[in-house]
Amino acid sequence: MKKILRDKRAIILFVLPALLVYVIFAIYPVIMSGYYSFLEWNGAGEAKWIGLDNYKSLFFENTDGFTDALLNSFVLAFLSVFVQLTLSLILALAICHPRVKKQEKFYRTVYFLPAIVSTVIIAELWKKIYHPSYGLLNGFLSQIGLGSWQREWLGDPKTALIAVFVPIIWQYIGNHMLMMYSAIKGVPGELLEAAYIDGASYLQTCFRVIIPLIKDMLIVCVTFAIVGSLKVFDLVYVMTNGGPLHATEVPGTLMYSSIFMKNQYGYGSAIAVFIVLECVIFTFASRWVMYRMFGDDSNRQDVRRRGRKSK
Amino acid sequence: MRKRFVSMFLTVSMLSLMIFGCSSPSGTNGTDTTDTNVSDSSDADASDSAETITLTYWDGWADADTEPTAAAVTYALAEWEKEHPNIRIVADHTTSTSDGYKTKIKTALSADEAPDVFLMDKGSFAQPYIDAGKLLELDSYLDGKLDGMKEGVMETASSNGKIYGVPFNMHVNGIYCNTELFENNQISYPTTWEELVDVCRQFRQLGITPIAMGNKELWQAIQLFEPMMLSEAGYDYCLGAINREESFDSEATVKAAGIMLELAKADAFSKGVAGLTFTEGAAEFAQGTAAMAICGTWGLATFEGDSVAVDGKVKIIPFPRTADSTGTENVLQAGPYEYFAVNPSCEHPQEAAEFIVFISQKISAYCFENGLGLPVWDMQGAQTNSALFQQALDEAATATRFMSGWDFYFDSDVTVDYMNLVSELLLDQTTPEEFAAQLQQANSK
Repeated sequence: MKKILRDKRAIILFVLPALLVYVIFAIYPVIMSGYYSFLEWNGAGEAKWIGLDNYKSLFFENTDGFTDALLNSFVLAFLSVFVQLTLSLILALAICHPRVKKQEKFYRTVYFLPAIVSTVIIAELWKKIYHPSYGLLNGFLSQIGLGSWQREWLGDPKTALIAVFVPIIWQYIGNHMLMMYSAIKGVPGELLEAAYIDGASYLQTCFRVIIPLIKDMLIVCVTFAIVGSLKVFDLVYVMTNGGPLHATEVPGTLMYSSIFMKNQYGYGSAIAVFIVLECVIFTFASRWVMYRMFGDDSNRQDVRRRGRKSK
Repeated sequence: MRKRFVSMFLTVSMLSLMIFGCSSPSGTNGTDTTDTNVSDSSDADASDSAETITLTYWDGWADADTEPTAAAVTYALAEWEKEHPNIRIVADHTTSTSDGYKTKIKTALSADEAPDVFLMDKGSFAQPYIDAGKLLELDSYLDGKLDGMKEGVMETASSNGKIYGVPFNMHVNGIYCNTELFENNQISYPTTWEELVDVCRQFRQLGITPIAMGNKELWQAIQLFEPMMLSEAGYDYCLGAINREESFDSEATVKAAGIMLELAKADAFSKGVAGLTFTEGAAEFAQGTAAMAICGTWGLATFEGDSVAVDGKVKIIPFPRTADSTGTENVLQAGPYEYFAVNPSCEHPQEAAEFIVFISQKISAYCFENGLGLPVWDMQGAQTNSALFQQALDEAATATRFMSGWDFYFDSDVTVDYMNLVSELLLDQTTPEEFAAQLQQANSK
């Protein structure tokens, strides 16, 4: 097997199918979007080369609420990192508690379920929950005597944004929970035992042993949460389509309406390119910031390994 | 030897996975897409002769429950198969919900991957593709085939005097009223906009939703606003303003916007109207909990049937007029909205043209008989089974002029701005003066 792994031809052969798929379905569309973003094109007729005019319209002469859409995606990123990941971590730590060992599999499956359900189904489900006349939420508020708190959740520009963000955050809690859970399971048992022998409670073990040891996975989760929020589209599109009155607009829905409703393929492509670049920049920036703040264990391990070898 | 075996095994496994992974699964359909192979493939193989022609066909009706025209298409395709065994149709039906079909056909046309025959929206939706030569000019193929088509219908599918498609039915809009709620509460049907506002106030006081509406897709509110504009300003002015020959920043627009705002302030619409889809709004009326709904004949089937609470209790009334109106003009919001078009790269344009005329006639007849749409072909002696549809026909007979929805006239980017501006009225988020100025600004871009 080692010989195969050293064989460059074998590596190329095995990497090629995935690389081809990646190039055709990820790299090529991004390059083409970059090209289209320099055009004025309605998707049908002759395209006109207009250089950076679409980017000028996007950043300096914007009239379609791009700044608000961008701010909405930042709000979602903030909520994802500080609410979604916090809840995911609490759940992951809870199901790893020694006292829930018997029910561990059950809870793990239940918490992960929303992540495997189709986004459209989740959106439809939450639309029923929020329905102003027969929705569960308004019904519940009425039942507990909080009828004055009832709202037209998705129809009111003041409440629509938060109403859409709740299911987005809920949907991926299970996903992050599972990633953190797998990292917790990788924490050496002897370290946990040592902590218990020293008299540490489970909470103390979490803060002093588990969380520091799963730091790398937490950083990965933060990166995924930020990037996922910046490029969010599907759930917002199905639930509100960016409305009412652009209240839930995010760059993804704005790109869609520019291309498919307004026939502005060039301008929409400029938004698409912006989303890609924004995600790449935030991926590197967030990792750089977090590694500077909390240190990079993987580098340290490499240094240790190299040190051992040199000895 | 063993290592070589492992290497060969992995290579063979990978290639097998690639081959099976890349092959298209037979009979696999998307969630909202259904494929219909009108000629069974085994039969086609058996009788595969040089004369057999295959035409690919796309439309936007996948679900007969929510898109009743789907049943008409199924009937038309079956009839075609009976009469034309040598011309095989490979049909693909996509839902129009959430603009699914529109997005699909736009993408396919942009990428030059449209099928031989496809459904197109008229007006500004189709115009860029006509200008770019992506729709086949059909004049020479339709010679003598359009005898019996109603007058003026072909204008829908024409541009610069040339024909680019064949329409198949028409629709007329109106206010659908729940007779039980009106009669039990002794409320009269409104004939003027002022009366409509008053009727809405009365129903709201009774705890009944006055007008069931879902405006998430943005197009339902404009169906109420446009009759207001037409009654305030008239057909010629409205068309002139759309064509930038007149200004929308006028007293008439302010008045029409004022009526819409009055309705919004009277809490006339469904709770959460901006977050509900058209289907959800229509369901509220169908359940009998709303007094009125703004609808066209395309949605009429939703309000008929044994399982529908309002079955037999619906009356269609024309849109109100202004109280001081003295004119005799009665403009109805109506017309054909869609047509079947042919791809210029179709290898059998003559057969494709014959096919679209054939299914247009069949769909037109089926829709008329079953109350799904007004016919575009002369239907002498034909009867409709739907009493509600007959009401719509009677309403259409009173019209002196017809005008389609303005989203078919405006350019696509103006349409989006226009629909958002009307939504602001619906949510009481603007003033009539601001609305008029902003609409003019949007149409001047």
